[in-house]
Amino acid sequence: MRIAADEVSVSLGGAQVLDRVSLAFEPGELVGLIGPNGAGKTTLLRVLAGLHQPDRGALHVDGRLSTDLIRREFARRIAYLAQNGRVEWSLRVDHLVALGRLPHRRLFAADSPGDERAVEAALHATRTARLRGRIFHTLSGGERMRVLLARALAVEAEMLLADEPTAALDPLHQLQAMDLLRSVASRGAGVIVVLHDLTLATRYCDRIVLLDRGRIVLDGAPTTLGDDLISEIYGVEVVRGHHDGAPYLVTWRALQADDKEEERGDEERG
Amino acid sequence: MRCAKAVAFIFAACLALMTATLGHADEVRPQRVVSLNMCTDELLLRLADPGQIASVSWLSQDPRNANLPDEAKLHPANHGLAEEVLSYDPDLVLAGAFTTRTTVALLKRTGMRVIEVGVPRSFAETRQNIRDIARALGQQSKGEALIREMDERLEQLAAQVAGPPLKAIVLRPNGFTVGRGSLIDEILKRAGLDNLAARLEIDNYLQIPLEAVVLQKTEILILNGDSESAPSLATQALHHPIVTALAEKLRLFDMPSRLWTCAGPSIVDAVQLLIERTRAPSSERPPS
Amino acid sequence: MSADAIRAATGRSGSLPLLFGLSLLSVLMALASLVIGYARLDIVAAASDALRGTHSLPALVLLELRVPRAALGFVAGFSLGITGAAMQGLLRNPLAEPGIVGVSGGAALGAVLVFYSGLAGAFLLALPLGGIAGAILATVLLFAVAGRGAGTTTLILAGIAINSFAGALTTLALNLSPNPYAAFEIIFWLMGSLADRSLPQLWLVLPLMAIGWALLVSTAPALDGLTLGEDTAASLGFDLQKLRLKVIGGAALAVGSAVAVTGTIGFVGLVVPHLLRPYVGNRPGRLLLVSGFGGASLLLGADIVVRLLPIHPELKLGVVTALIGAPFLFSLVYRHRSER
Repeated sequence: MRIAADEVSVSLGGAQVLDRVSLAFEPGELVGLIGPNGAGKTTLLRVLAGLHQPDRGALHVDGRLSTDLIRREFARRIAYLAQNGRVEWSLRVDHLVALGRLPHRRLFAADSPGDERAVEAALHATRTARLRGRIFHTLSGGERMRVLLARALAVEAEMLLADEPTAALDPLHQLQAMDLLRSVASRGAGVIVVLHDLTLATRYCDRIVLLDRGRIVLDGAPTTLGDDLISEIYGVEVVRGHHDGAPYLVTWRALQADDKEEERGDEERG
Repeated sequence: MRCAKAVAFIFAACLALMTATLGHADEVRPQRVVSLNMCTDELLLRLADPGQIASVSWLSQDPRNANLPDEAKLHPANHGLAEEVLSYDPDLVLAGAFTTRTTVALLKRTGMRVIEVGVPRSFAETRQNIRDIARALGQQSKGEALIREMDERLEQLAAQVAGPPLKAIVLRPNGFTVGRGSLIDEILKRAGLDNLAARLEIDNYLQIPLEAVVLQKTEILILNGDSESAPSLATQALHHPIVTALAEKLRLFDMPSRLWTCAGPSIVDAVQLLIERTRAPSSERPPS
Repeated sequence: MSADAIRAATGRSGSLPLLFGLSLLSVLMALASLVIGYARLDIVAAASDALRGTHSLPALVLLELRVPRAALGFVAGFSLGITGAAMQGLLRNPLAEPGIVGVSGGAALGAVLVFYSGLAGAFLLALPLGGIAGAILATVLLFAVAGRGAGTTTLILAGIAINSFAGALTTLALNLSPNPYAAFEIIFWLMGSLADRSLPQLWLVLPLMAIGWALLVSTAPALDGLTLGEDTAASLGFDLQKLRLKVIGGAALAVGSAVAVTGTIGFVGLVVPHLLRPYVGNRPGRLLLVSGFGGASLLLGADIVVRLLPIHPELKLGVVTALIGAPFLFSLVYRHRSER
């Protein structure tokens, strides 16, 4: 399948959050959606997830307008993992993961074998099977992230959209999360993940989309993300290196931070 | 000598005048009577000369609730407020035992003559009420005449009551009924009816559940709700489907409250109505 | 058994036996309600008379007095239970219930206006419709004031405001009624009663309630999805606006018509879902039907208590449910406080 944003523009509260953004995604790649605060990453992700209708432009799924698809079909094909996953009621892990099967289930239907299989597969992929009888709220931060990801995987969707799944996680769990997303992509689904961490994004993603103030500044392999672009968009200097044959970069130093901040602030306010 | 005779004459004349005045003291009737209570209104309207009446309560002017609405409408109405009452400058105020206590107390404090009349619980008390008010109005002879007329009618009616008493229950709004030793109880007796509720150990609140009404094997069911045009839950209870269903099994009819609420000839009308409704042959039973 | 342990132990289909058990309980309570009354009644004789079509006095009492009372107790309790569960699922707040947030108060106002103006006498269906309209108005007002995703404080404050306003208007309407008894009937509308209800009232409200129940039950999957928040629920294919309308509509139909014939009975929609929630693994969807049967059982139980207690005049139902529910509310508030 292929989802594509076509000249999508969104304005919120008077500000232009997305400005004629055009992008296409296909399964099998892990795409990192990066950019400074306020760049419009979350909004773009929500538009791609069908949660927000753009003011101009459209979202296409396999060539058809997303609005032509019935909700359930859209829900079956695109899974969304929200930022700061909040679970309102103290559910058991297995019941929570089973919520991912809702787009597939008819009203009052019992669990089908397909449903049970999907839930099991999701639990195993995220290595949360041993937690199945536990109550969500008794889990640690890392465990919670994995359970919520399992819920998203249980949808068995072709695309998974994750909004900052690594936020508020410790280093171990951040790496585990990225490993998981990597494996999800390699198994055939498409994954689009909003990230703040440039190191993680450049290490794990097959493709980087850099947004700045509602516009796409870069769309390509992580190697195409140059220092000049980083310093211009983020206002930081990075340090690069190699380890085990793989390149990495680390943000090192703020560049004339105050000027950069003021400049951006003026532009935003103006 | 002529001086002393003159003085004696004047003195005698004064004395005579005084005696005459005193002797006629009970002939002096109150001329501005205000009544605050529907029952005292009725007796006032029946016993007093129209010129004596200053005001009656607004309730008496309602034909649904009162027995003499047309006569009552000839006089100004009051709502029982002390200020209103004082504005009529009455020389006698008639109030019921349940008239607002504060109003009555206030009126008494102003030195006004207030006569309070209780709710009669028997025919004997009814007669006493009539006599009390008649005396206060200076209309004793009218009072006696009224009582005599009532008693004569009662005797005639008593002759019409033959055979064993019929079992009856009175049903009022909110499921209330009539207990032992009340005026209505005596009215029922005189109409040849046996008040079943008086036999049940009904609590002080006199509420009888509909189930009990139905299961009592009563022969007569008297609905004592006034046909109000405005609905309420209380009066709705009297029109429960089960009551309507009972209409096929026993005699069911409406009895307007105004006939047996107050002391007066209407209680005899109540007895008469009951006898007519209960003793008439079934085929001639009037639609209720 | 701690709540957590109960939740952990509930299996995937653990709620089915519970559902069966509660529905059985509610039926038994209804039968018990038939047997208990103000006068001794030979139930067996009455029932056989009724079935044969003989209108003997016992059969009349059974059919016209006891059956409506038991049946209305069942459907009103069911409505209160299921509506409480649905509102808690939608608002994601365990304190939401039709009484607290003002829906019942609004329904009572609507019913009072229709009844005492004589409209209900002219057009029978007007009574439950009045209750439903009042309930809808109250819910719309609630959403307008409390907004979406409102916290507990806002919700409770909105409920207090709506209840106060509706209560004042109800009392005013009763005072303005020309019927002298009306002014004293506020206690029925505020506290509720099943006494002397009739079969016609049952037939009047049953279809409306049934539609309401159907609407509410249909929201089960969406309420489950809402556990993960509005965005995730939308991404799972649920139309949130439709969900809100279904819950509002279902609640109004079920509770609005119930209040129109029984008056306001509070706390059932609060206590029942709260008690049963651990047994359905905290899943809002599964809570709906079990709360319905739980509510029916509770209300019928309260009505039996009211008739067995030697207190005259008969206690209003709302007194019993409040005596059970208010301590509950205390404990919820206490727990809420310690969660800060």
